Amino acid sequence: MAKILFINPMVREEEDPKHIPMGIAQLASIAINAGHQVQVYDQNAWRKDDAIVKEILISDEWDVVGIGGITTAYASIKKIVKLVSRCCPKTLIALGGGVLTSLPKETMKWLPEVDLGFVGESYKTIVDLLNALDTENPNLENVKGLILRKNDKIIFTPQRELLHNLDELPYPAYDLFPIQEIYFKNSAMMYSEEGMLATRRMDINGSLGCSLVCKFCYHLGIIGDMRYEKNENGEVNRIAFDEEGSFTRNIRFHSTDYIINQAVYLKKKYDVNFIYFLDENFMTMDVYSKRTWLKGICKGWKEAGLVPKKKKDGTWDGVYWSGTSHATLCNPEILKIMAEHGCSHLVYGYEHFDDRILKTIGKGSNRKTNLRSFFWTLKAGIRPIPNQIIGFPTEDFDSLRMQMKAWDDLGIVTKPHFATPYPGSLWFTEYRNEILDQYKGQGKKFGLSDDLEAYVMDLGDASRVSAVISRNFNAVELIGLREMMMHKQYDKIDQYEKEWRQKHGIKPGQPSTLVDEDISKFKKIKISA
Amino acid sequence: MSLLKGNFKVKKPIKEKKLTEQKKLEEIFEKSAKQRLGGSMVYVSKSKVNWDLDEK
Repeated sequence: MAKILFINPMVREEEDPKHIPMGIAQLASIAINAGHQVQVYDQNAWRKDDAIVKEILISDEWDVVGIGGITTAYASIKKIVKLVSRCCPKTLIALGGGVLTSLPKETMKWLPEVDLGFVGESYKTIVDLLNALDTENPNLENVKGLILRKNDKIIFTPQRELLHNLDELPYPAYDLFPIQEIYFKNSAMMYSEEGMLATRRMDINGSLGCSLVCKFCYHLGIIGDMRYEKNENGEVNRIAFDEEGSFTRNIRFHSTDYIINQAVYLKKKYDVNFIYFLDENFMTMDVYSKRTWLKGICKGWKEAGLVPKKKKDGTWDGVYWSGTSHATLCNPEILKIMAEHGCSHLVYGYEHFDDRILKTIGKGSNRKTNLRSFFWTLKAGIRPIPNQIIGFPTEDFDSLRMQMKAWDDLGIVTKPHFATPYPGSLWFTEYRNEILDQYKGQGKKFGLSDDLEAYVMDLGDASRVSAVISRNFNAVELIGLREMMMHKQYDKIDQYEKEWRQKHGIKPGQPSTLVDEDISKFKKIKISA
Repeated sequence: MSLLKGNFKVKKPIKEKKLTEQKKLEEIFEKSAKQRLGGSMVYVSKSKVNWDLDEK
């Protein structure tokens, strides 16, 4: 049997760790079921210094140290990889997750200590890799879904197929994470009263993918959106993702029985009082299932005795839950049923309230559906969490005011995210050259491989500015405008608009924008202090 | 409390230095203060101070 140490890198340092990393927890469970020796160190949960991480690394002799995470964990990953290389020189270092799949060749170049990477979904790859390492002369080129170093080259092994039936997956290895020590203490989520009062929250992921084509989003192969491109010699030299006009959307979801059994398992084993569904978009699965999936979950929740009942002291029996919705795909009927079965809040990626902006992002929603779903959700008794973004490519003063007006009308208190072109997204492909321009010289300045690595190092969760894709505003302006928007300072925005027009030489009567687009068909609302 | 969790016992136990009560309090304070940044709220992260008053 092979011996593997999984390490979960640190992400969102400014926040308490709230979520057991689902990918690593699933892979650890799969590896154990396949008969291998597994340990997990959750650096995001423990946040220990390098001295402790070194102690962990030398606590045994590992065949593989597997590190994985999303792109925003890159800085932590880079640090950990260097420690592993120093402390465990004979151990294979494997990297997986979105950080690797979004830019596989670049990441292997930036992190020369990494021996191999998991490209795309790795449920089957992890077993094949560990089984291969168990043999006398492992040939990793036969393991699908990897990126490897061979002599001086970086090569891809054949593309890994997706798992057809998600119900084949074991439950994540929750026990290998500090549930009592860390995660239960951070159970509260400030999204609803029940979320805030949750004391024993755990997460379930009921589905993979989404049917929509938002330009800022990325799926990195899990919906069949990844293809291997070959050069003239027949060698795979590039991984590409869906491009505009050509989308694959192979969405998958667990059966309702699987989800209910998992919820019952969490209730019995950990006495959870809240379950957060990590699913990318609940409603897209519900529509795909012809509106049977969410009703099935609600029915199962009731049959399993999980529907929460409030007690006088504010606590409850049963399990409240929450998830994600979509403005256009939800309807009053399903929202009411969800509320009756314990759904306390739903996260909506409304992003904006100006149709001119929404039209450009592939979201499949508009101002009307955003407003409609907002009131439907409230009326059903569920708190909507209306995520907001500013700094879209065609964002201008009018669209910002439209956004503020909606916040005023709907009572939304928000600190919006900035539009960010994450690797793997359509935006990243479209704006790659502009990103590199903005980070020109930063790679050399900070001792990194190149400017793109500097950008990836800088990426956060979009609550702060990184690369700007707005045609009208720079980073400083966006930060300032966001501050004024949050404080409802319409007059200050009007004042800055005058200065901005002067700076850019906009003639009287012309709209305040540098973007050449036909905006005549969009309704204009005059909003001012 | 075990930093490593798995399905077997590792060969070498992990030694973690015990924090003094003062250090524990310092960590709790700095973590709480960081979460309340804004307005006039400001604090010094002691472990990140990397200069002293001695002019060289």
